[in-house]
Amino acid sequence: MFPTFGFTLLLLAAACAGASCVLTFVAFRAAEAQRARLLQSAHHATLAMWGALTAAMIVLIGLFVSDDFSVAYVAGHSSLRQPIQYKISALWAGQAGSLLLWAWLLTCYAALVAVRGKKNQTYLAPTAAAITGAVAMFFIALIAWKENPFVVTTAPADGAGLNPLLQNYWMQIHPPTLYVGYVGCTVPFAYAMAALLHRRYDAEWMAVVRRWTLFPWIILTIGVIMGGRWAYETLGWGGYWAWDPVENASLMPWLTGTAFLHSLMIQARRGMLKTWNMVLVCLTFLLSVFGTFLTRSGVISSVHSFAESDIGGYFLGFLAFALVLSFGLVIWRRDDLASDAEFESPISREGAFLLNNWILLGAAFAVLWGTVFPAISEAVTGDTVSVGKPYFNRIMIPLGLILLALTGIGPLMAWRKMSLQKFGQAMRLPILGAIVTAPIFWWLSAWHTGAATAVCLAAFVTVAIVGEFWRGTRARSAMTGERGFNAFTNLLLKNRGRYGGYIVHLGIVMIFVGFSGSAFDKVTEPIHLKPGQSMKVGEYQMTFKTLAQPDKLDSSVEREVNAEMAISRNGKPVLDARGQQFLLHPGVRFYKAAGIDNPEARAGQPPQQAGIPAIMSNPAHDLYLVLSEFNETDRTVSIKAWLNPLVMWIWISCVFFISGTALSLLPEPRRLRASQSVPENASRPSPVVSQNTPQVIAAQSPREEILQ
Amino acid sequence: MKRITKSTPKLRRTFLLCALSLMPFGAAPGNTQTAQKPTVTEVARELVCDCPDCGKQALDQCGKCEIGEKHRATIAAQLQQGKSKAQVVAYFANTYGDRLLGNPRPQGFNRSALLLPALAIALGMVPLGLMLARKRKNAAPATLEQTDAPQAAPQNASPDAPEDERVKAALRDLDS
Repeated sequence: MFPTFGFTLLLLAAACAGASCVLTFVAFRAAEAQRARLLQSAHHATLAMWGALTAAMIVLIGLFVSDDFSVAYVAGHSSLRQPIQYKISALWAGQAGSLLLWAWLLTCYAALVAVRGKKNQTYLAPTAAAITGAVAMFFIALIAWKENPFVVTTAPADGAGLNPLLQNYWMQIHPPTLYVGYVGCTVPFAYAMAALLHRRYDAEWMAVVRRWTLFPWIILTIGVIMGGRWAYETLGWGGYWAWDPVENASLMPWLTGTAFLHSLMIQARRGMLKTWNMVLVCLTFLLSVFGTFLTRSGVISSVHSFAESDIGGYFLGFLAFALVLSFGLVIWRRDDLASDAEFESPISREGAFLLNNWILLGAAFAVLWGTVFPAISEAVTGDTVSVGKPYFNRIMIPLGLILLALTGIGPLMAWRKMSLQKFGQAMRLPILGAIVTAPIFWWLSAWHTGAATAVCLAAFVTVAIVGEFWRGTRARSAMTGERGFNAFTNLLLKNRGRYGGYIVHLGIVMIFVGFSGSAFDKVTEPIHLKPGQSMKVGEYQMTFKTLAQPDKLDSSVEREVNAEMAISRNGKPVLDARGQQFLLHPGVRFYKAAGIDNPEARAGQPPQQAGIPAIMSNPAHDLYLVLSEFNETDRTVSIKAWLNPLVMWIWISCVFFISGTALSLLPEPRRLRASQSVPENASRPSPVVSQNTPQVIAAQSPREEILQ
Repeated sequence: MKRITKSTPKLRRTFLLCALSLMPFGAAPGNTQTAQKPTVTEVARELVCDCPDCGKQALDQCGKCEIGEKHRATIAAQLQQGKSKAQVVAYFANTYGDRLLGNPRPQGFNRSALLLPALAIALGMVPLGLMLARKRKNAAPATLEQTDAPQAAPQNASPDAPEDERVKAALRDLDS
């Protein structure tokens, strides 16, 4: 009964999505008198779509939790012994469930857009909600007809269980986080299409689209970093980023979204790059869909092949349709999108942003081309080629370093134009910071040109950004008479976009410092150890004490074997917080065998296993141990060890990304909000700032939260 | 207003200092790690595993698959013979073609793997160049002046004065 109910809810959600689109379309073609009523109905249809899909999600979760193996999807991804948290996260472990999660998130966004914009966005919000709903309709239709998670089968005694690699706490939060980011890219796209349809590209649109881009952007950022952490903690190869096609798929919309967030500031400030911004919004959305196509189609070989099927063609069709429609609309409205001002000088903030856009787009293209190249090469030449880390590092490291430099240069530039002399003066201290860092870096580590450049540039950017905070506080103090901490906090709160962005730039510095450490990692080959024997990596010595088995195990785990390794540094034992010898426990976890097809036939097979790397982290480096092999008879082990410098800074960067974006997204002060809550159809000052009177609109337009 | 025709001595000094600071980069002994005998893992990073289950992971990442183990054993044997990292990679390229190389050899269609992104980035400069050319054509003789700062800093001001003015102007523009 419940599976049928779930499927019915899917159909209901698809119908509501269709109704929302049709009603919105009819409303804007109907007479003014009928419009409000039709839009109200479309609003209700959007909410009903969200309600129906939420109910469908609850039904599927209920089926997982109640071990209803009569549902093929549940039987394929869960088992009786699976802990409850993994029963729930199994929902997105396969194709059908992850598509349902994607569609549900789309309906959440559509409902949020509809509710948030109901009050004062009489044109943009209903249309954006309907477009988001239309995208959701594609996904719901795909689920209902091609990947139905509610298909019933003969119930086996037990389910197949979740892939061991997915039985990790990061996998409970990493995929949904990434999905919230990916799916969120639909909203700015929907707003862009709405703006093009209604010919409304005003400051309100820019403010709304900026907020709706910043939110998925930060979530995508966190999701990508979380993915790195999952790989680092789970896969046991000592690294966090492998340029795998699915990792690349998450990076591409992030790159174009970052470019958009910067170039939108030029539009807000100078009325330039309107067409370009529309193109960037469309590209970000299309690349997010392309990412899910890559993940699911199996066109490209990837370690993330947890969910593959033959739905790639549908995604390609949808991508082609969205591409033609969106770019067609941009071309159709190209006259509306003409620039209001001219680019004046490359030595200006616009110049820095343009360079930033150019490099970000170039990087996105390089990632895209490298990702699809094996498939294209095979189609063209018939030969199999691979494109991996060496290729991507060769292209992306120089581009990354240019971008890092720009995160420091951009904030120092003035809008419109800046004399070379003043540019030189602004750069003086940051360059000094970089120059001082170079010999310190050389003294602290072996020389590596790429890493040294990254660290020197990191110092350059840090000095530039900290200098901006210092100057801003001083300027505010001089202008308002506020002192010290008050001046600093008010500086941040009154200029949230500007200084929030600078904090995010500091996050970029952190992440590059973390990346630069990979140039100095040290790794051993697996070393065979008997109890009492030691191995070395860098200044660390690891002594194998014994093989151990933990008492408490998850219900799906048959057994776990750990090697107890005592850690010393430069000959002195490393002590834990209680003053005892610090131990690391790299291990292997064996999962109980389960199978839906023929459990008896699988009973004789070895159970699935997953390695458990042991990591000791500090800001300078991570000691990372993996148990390669063990022999319980003679109690020997093979251990592989890495010493990875500066990795922790990659995870620390998250704090800066989150706090900077949160500051940028903080609700406006009540005083300002009151002045901005003008209905969309009321008259409003021109969104474009006159070049001669840049300060006139500052206090009354949402553009202020966009400007840096 | 001051027309900028050439860099000021101060600016020249800054750039000279930069150039001097970069000299060690040229004279640097290079990555000391690469000067040592390469390890199996270092060579394996340049190659991918071609077994059907590994999803073309780098050879240093793939787990316990038989094909990966075989390739790593080959690398170890090659290194035992005293070969360098480049020689071992070349051995794999000669034996298996491009399918195990993380970076395809620049020959035939493979050239486009590197050339196309480079070309795309270079072409990206064209619109920027066109914008600049149009600006030069239309504009009156350029006088480069920082426009965020409403007034030039007085001559006896501190060296930070122009920067302070830029920040103040930006804050005036943003603050209510």
